[in-house]
Amino acid sequence: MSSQPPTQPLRTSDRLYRTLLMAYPAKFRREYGPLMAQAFRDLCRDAYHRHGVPELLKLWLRTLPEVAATAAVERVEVLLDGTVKEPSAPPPAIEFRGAYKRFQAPNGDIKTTLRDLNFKVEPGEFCAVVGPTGCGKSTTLALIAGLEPASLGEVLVMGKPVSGVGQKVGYVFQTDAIFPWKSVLDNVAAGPLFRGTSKVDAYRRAHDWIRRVGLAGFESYYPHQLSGGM
Amino acid sequence: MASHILLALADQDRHGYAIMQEVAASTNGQVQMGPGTLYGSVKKMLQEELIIEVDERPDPALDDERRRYYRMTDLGRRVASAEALRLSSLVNVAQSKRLIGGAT
Repeated sequence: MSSQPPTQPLRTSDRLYRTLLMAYPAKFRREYGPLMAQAFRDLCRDAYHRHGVPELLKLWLRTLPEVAATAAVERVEVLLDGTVKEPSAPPPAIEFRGAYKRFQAPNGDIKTTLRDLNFKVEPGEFCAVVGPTGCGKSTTLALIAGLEPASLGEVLVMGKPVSGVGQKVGYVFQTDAIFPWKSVLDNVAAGPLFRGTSKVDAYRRAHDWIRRVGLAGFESYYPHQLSGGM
Repeated sequence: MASHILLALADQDRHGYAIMQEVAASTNGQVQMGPGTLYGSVKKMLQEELIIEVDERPDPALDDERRRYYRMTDLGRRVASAEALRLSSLVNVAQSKRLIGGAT
């Protein structure tokens, strides 16, 4: 390094640069500020001793936008650090935690259908429950749908404990569940009506769905007047 | 910027100002890195373990103890080689299409 004592322009330049460093986030400044100031001082010394003040000014013209740009990058990084550091994983769509289901059989015996059931289904995951008759498949689904409470343990849907029939769970019955005394239109509108949808809305949606499945024109028919496929 | 810094560290450990000088010299002054650019890159490259800080002083007599020296890691060397190979294959393509001179 040059051993010449710093002249006035170099001292001014150094002081200005130290002020400019305030543009950087505090953490970055603490870590690298002294090193940056020293590197810049060396650059200035080279420029000044080789070509004098004009070269020093040229260096400064290059440095100002550099400071602005790099300080902005560091600041954006600090902002992002706080917000996107650890994206929290979404909760499982369905989760069983040590769930039990016990029923009282007609003869008075206690029957345990589900014993310490633990599993998760992630959002978007396709899951089929397979097993022999009486192993608890329907009971499991009933717990998810909120038709039955667990005797012990927890059942969560979208991270929240199931408490009764919710809006998020769809349920297709094992056997068809149709009201024979209601027309096609009334049958289709029944579900939303039970859920509290307004009549106008429920019937509007029922008409739409009947059209979508190709049953338009049969709205006023009763179930026994339709063929099995319909 | 990272590849310029890795190239500057390929032959020896350097401190910040020396890296800036080496980059300027090896690019005929076309790449003039300021301290903000340099230390922003250094910070990221330390995190990515492409470089490390070293305590050893190559030339204690001439040295200012406040300086920090940086050294390329094995990973950094592999990354720099891969980048150099990528660039040299680009050069080959440019030569074969007569954009620049040289062996074809």
